[in-house]
Amino acid sequence: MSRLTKSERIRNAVASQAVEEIKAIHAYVHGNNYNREEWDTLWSKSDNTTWGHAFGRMVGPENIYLNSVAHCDKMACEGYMRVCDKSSEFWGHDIRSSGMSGTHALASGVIEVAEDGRSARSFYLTPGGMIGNRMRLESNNERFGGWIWERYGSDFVFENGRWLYFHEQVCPDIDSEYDFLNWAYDEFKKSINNPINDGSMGGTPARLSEPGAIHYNFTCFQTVQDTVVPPKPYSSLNDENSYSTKGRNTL
Amino acid sequence: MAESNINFTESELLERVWDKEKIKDIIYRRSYFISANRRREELSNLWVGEPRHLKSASYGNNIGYFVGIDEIHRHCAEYDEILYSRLKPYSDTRQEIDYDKANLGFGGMNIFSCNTPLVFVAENGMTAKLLVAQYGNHAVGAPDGTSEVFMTFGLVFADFVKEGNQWKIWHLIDVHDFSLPAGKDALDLPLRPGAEDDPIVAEYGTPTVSKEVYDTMFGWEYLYFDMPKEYYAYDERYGYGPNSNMGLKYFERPGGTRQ
Repeated sequence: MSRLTKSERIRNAVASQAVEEIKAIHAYVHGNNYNREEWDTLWSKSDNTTWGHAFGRMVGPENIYLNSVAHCDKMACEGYMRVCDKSSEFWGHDIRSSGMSGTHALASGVIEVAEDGRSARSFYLTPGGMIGNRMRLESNNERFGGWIWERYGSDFVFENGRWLYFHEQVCPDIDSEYDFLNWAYDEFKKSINNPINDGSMGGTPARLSEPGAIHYNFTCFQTVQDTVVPPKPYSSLNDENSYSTKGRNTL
Repeated sequence: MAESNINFTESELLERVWDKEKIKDIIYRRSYFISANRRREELSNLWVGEPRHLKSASYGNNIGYFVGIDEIHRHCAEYDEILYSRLKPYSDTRQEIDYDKANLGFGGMNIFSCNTPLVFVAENGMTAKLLVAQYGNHAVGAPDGTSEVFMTFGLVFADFVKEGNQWKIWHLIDVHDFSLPAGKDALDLPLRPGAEDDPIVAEYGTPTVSKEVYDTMFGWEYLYFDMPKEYYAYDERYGYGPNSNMGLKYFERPGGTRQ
């Protein structure tokens, strides 16, 4: 039986759905290249906000905005111009989102809301699809029907009446083409030639607060990594209950 | 933006939590009915039933809308014709398989699973909006050993309305992205696959209202404008019926992009 009162349980049920909502909005707008719309509205502006990937961690809203918005928008614009060179139909269409139709789909979500109701944590598997004519045209017809499976560990805070993202740790595991390549054999060959993959999957950001491999992609020469573990029930956000580093768990 | 709940009492919050879970439940049950080729049961169990909603109910796909529950039933009948065409090779060659409605679905499998649900219940509690990503598998085999197998990708947008104390599907759009063929390089597909390359395209049927709802060429170009957001009450411009802004460029949308 929960220690929480009925009111607290209702509060936490609402919070749990808010986390689902934020994760879903992220999945769709990220897959759409609408990064500004995500970072402006879904994220805390605390200096302790962090966003981590395999290649390292961005810390604070300025560093995150530089990499996740400005850098990505620059790449989107440059990519759009390359796409238009290949297909004049794209002129006049959205510079960021036209031709995009992939998403980091969300599955197997585990969500815990802190007993104090001030933070929440989530873990998801993401069996994502990377499909879309933009990718295809930008890559000179080398890449189209792809998939990427990752794991997410995320922390959220309740700030000024809304739930907001606070920390994210993305753990890319494996990617390949749908049903055309023998991805297991291809991964084996990659592992033989390059045992350690420091997570260049997903692209390299412009500048990182904390560069350095946090997570390694799947290879045949390592155990399953526990970079993000599903959250357990907890009382409040602290260094022991966080997907970020020590000292970054207060607003 | 994630929903702000500062306007609601505790009792209202509890009802809204329940409502969101019920709406997800409905769309997951729809996956079951579609996958089991029980589309008419889908309509009778999950869709609107009150007379005031029947004429405005709509089912949309990339090329238009079936408007009114009778038209949606007509689309089911169109789809049945496709199922009969798949059944025929079996009933022609195997005595024990009757060319009968009871055997529709023989030789084929369409499974659509939903993920990444995004649900907003209107502040007035009377309608709701949903978006899910839909990952599926389409497999059809024939007795001569030929087959077509695809992985399918798309989105589902839906308006729900409360009838009594039950949520019902009112408007729904199956947005189809691509079908990727098994064992083949997807790069061999045209940029804009037609019915000859994509079995889902072949199932679009003849909508009541023809309209370009979605062009696979340009993908989720308008997703940010179309996706559900916090809202007060249903407005057909921002819903998912035939008079909605779906498919329009952002600067063509009556009322702009607010919801």
